[in-house]
Amino acid sequence: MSNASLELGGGNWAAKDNGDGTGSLLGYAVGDTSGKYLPREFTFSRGADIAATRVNKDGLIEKYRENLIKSSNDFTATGWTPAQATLLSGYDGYDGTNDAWFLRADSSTFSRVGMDNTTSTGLSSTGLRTFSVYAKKKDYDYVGIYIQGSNKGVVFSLLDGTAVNSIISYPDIYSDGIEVGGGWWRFSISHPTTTSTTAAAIYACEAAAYNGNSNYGKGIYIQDAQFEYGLVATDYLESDDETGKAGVLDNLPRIDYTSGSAQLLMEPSRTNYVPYSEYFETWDKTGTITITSNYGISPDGLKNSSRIQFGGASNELRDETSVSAGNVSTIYIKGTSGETIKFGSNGSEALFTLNGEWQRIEQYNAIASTKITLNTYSGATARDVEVWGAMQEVGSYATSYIPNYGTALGVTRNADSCFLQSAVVHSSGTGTIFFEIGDYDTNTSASGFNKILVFNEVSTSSIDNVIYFEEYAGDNTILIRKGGSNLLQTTPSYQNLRGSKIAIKWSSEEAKVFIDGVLNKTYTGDASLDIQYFGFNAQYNGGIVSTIKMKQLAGFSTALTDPECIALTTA
Amino acid sequence: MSFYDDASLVFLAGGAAGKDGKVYNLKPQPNPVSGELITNGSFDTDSDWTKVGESTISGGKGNVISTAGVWSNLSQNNVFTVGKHYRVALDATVNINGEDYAIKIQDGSADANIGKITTSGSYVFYFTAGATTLTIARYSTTSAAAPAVDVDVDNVSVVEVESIPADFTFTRGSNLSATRVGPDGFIEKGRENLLLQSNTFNTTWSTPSASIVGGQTGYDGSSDAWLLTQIGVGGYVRQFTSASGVSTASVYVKAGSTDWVSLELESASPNPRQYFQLVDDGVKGIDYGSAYGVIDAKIELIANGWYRISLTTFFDISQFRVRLAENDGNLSGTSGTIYIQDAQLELGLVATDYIETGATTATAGLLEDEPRFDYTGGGCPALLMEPTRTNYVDQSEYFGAWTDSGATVTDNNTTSPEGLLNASKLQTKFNASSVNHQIDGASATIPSGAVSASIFAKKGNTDFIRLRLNGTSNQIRAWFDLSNGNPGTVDSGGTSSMTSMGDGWYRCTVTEAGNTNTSAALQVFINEGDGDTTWIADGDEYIYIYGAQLEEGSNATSYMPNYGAAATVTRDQDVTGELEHGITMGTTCSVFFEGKHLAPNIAQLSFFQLRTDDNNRLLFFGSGTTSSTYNFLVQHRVSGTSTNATSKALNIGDSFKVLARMDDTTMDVFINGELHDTQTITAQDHFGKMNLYRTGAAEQSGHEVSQAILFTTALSNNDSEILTGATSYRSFNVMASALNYTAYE
Repeated sequence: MSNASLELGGGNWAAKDNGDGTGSLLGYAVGDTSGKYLPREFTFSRGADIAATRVNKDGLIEKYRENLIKSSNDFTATGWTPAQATLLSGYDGYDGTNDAWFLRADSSTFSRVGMDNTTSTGLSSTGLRTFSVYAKKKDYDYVGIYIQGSNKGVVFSLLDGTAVNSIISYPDIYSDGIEVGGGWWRFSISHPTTTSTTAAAIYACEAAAYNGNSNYGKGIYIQDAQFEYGLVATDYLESDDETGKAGVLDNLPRIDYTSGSAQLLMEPSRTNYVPYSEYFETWDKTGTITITSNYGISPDGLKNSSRIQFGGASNELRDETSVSAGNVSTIYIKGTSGETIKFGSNGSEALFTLNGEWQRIEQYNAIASTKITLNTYSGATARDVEVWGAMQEVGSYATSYIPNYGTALGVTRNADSCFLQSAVVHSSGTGTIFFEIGDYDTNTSASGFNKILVFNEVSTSSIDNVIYFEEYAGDNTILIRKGGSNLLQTTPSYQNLRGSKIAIKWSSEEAKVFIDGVLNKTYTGDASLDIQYFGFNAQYNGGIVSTIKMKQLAGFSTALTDPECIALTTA
Repeated sequence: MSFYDDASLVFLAGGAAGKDGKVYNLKPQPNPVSGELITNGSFDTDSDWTKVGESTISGGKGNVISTAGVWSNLSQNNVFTVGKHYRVALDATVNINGEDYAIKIQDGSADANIGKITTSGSYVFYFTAGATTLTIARYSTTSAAAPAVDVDVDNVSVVEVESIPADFTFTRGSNLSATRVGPDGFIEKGRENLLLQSNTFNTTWSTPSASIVGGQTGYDGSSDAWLLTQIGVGGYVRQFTSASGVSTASVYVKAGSTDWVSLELESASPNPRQYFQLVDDGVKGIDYGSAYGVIDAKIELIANGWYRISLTTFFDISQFRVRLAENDGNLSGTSGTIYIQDAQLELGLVATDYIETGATTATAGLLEDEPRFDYTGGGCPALLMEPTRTNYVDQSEYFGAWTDSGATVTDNNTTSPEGLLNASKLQTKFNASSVNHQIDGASATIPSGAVSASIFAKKGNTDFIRLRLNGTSNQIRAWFDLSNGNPGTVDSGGTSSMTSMGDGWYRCTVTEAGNTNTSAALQVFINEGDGDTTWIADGDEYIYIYGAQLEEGSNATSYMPNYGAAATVTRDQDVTGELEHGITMGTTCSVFFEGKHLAPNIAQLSFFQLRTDDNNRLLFFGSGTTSSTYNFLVQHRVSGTSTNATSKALNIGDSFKVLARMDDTTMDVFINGELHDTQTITAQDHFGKMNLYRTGAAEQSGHEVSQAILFTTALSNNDSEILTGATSYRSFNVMASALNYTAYE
């Protein structure tokens, strides 16, 4: 048997964001004679949002990250404005480079350098933001970092890293600096901004105040400024004329390791209606509840979990939402194994038993929700837990986590869309498709619409000449249609094919479907189809509804023999 | 595994496998499948062979000897099995022969069906047996008029082989006018030493007032040099010969008791001559100049007192002479000696590497019927298949023969694209007035229709060259920027192009598609800017030029040197014979071809063809050709009914790769890495003959062939894409990295 003319996954996954509003997923073919790899690039899109996450190979939730400051280590570039200060480059940095800068105070008042929101327009957005910079003592012993607009800032000691004073006022979240060696510290402040940040500024401070240097002409070393979403400073992202980006980019196909192995994650659009999904100090409280932000390591591997200490029974931590009926609430929680906690939304709460590890608990609500709640009602025994990543979305099942840093109306992750249009995968009228879906979730309520996989002659719009793998009510069917009529439907009509290996072949003489090594159904007659479109998640009544975790897909330009199909679908 | 392992026939120009009259294919290979089938092929004993007529076995050789009219041969029975393939090898020494062929080798099924031999040498023949007996016989059948034959044969060997080779025959005609770009990037010509016995000075040569003795130590460490002794006034060694147009004589010399020598060529006019003193780095005597037909003379110190001296003339010559001299211009001496070795007389402006001759002249470089594996642009070569063309420029390299106006020419001034010191310097003459600075070639009668003029040029201290086709009824000018290789302004009705030749050289071409002139001259101008015409020159502005050509057609074909022996020189068409490859292709097969279209504005060009006849064939061809593009088509024709794949527009000059895959009733066409079209066809095996141009259509060439490969299977889509040039990678991770993907384990 010749090599497949299309392969996707099966241990070979690669994805990219093209930076032009599209992404790509790398399918391939292997030359039968040369053994060389040919690219078969799927077109992917999810839209220009930053809401998608995935579970990476380390088992950690990976988000989109962005350094909203441009020219993040070029303090004389456009956008950076010194005030009563001079920036000199070429000094030894914390990272072994000579990329550090000397921030020299040139007068006694407010010696600083700030990035404006005209150049770094991302500063203007509001929500939970963290501003960080590396600094080191030179002549002065203090550095100040300041979020202008919210007018929150902190003066830190470069001698011991401690926060020693505010600039105007303290932000909601700050802590002592982190020592990184060589006299260098990384300082950060976080705040749920509600007004646009007009500038992110760094002060050279002779004393524990951001104003009033008496010996100017002196200053401090600084390096690598970063302004980002969330509660904590993450690994530094260098930026230039463009902001620095990393993680799950807006149109990056997601290769997810939730199952332990790499699978393509394709999800429908969802919105997280919890305004502050990681910052619980904004939530309402009933009873005596103590919240400690940035307490422990969360499922994303950062020290940004929140510790919730309930004073006793019938305490409640809740956030107001407005979510239509048929929604599901989730939260990551870690507590003492065996203890219980009550979680859900109004009218639909349940006790969950904690297992001592991070776990995502999920509660469906058939009616509209106005809050998401974590409480110690109904005999819940847990009093001290860590939480992170709350989410409330419309749907019958929970999808991957969508972080919300303060958007009241919710943050939306658009549907994943992925397809390949190629005339070379199959020969004219003849071919074989093999695929294995790891798992999927869905919430269809009618048959005949939810096409999880579609193999069509041209596009997804017509179902006249098509092969598709459909889901209804949790079960599946496979249909081969030609000229608008069904040629073949698997038996039984609907069955659970999660995890199954499936081969479908067609030609001018017959069509057959094999499932897990067994011939399921045969059609005898002209089943020639000129399949050129390979798509995931056909729309259902205007919307994509399924979450797919795809293990592998392969296409052959010939109708494989029955033994070959059986071998292919046998584990 | 490689595609070549799977292929049944492979023509790969990258192997540059060809010789005079042959283009070799890498496959099919004649792999031996038996041991030696001849007993006593080395004739160690007088046994095992049947001797007929006067044939003998003696002295470790078989001897096919025959006096007039006697039928003689040597034979062995039961050597072959009918229908099987064999390799037959033998050494032959032809002692006496008076006919076209001396001996023939045959199996008894057909006359001379294995081979025929005329001259001494080692021979290998492949054939398919029609009978069982090997016979080595005199060529002529018995007749009283048949002259005597005497041929020694030895080392006769017969081995059965898996298949017989399938190679193209190749012809281009009987002159040395063709050139190619060789592996070193230089233009390679055909060369010929017009002297006979070029280092046997006691044969063919004569020594008036002199004597000559061989066995002397030569410049090359051999004992092949000769001592020329003067025994009377003006003694010399000479050979009567003939050369027309620009020619160069050369010989290696070393001082004996005399250190002056004269190289002299006899002509109807004053004899071109040059005196040399063989001391230090070599000293040239007085320059006799153009009055004596002298273009140039050189002396080059080789080693150990040896020099190579040369003399270039534009006179037709009839005698080559090396004379002992007393001193510069003085032939009055009566004694003295010099050493000489390796004389050469050749066409062209410079002496090239020595070619040894015997009873006939000898050639080197690109031979008459040698396929041209051309390396233009570097990398792997391609087989050049050009139509016949004529260069209407009578002196294509000797610009001193052109008419100058406001300019001067210095011949042999710098290294040309040929890699020799034979390019000319074209320099302005000072004139206080604004004038043209030009040289004009001779007016030539040219055909109407498209004509192209070209010249190789290199920037000096001035950037622009202007070419002008000066016709009787209209003129076309084109400017070329030699500083960057960009064509400049061209007059309406003309097109122009520049091709880099390396080392700052460009081939500059101007084409007039609608030429109506009946005669025209090529004019070459120096200019300082694009579109400039007359100008006031200081007299020190210059460029370099080489190799002018004026030809019929819409493009400049490969360079054809003309040394002035005739007004024009013609290169015949490159023709590969129709190859019956003997491979059963069937109706499920794949045909791959890589080539390049080189000929603008022609009606149709056939790149490649598999066929039974005109009505049953698979043809790769181009049509709808413009000055820059053409439509590429694949045609499957059965019983005169053609199925054409959708045409694909390609650029002239761009290499392309195509694969036609026939799978019973379907033909898929892959072009440059992509499936281009699919057509339903009527299955038929009509692929038995193979051509690299369209048989019977002499003008349907003007292309390069890089590869042609036949597969007796339908290659997969993946292989078809890869073979036709789809970008492919050795691993998934390498591919992901190259395409800027993030790979996930």
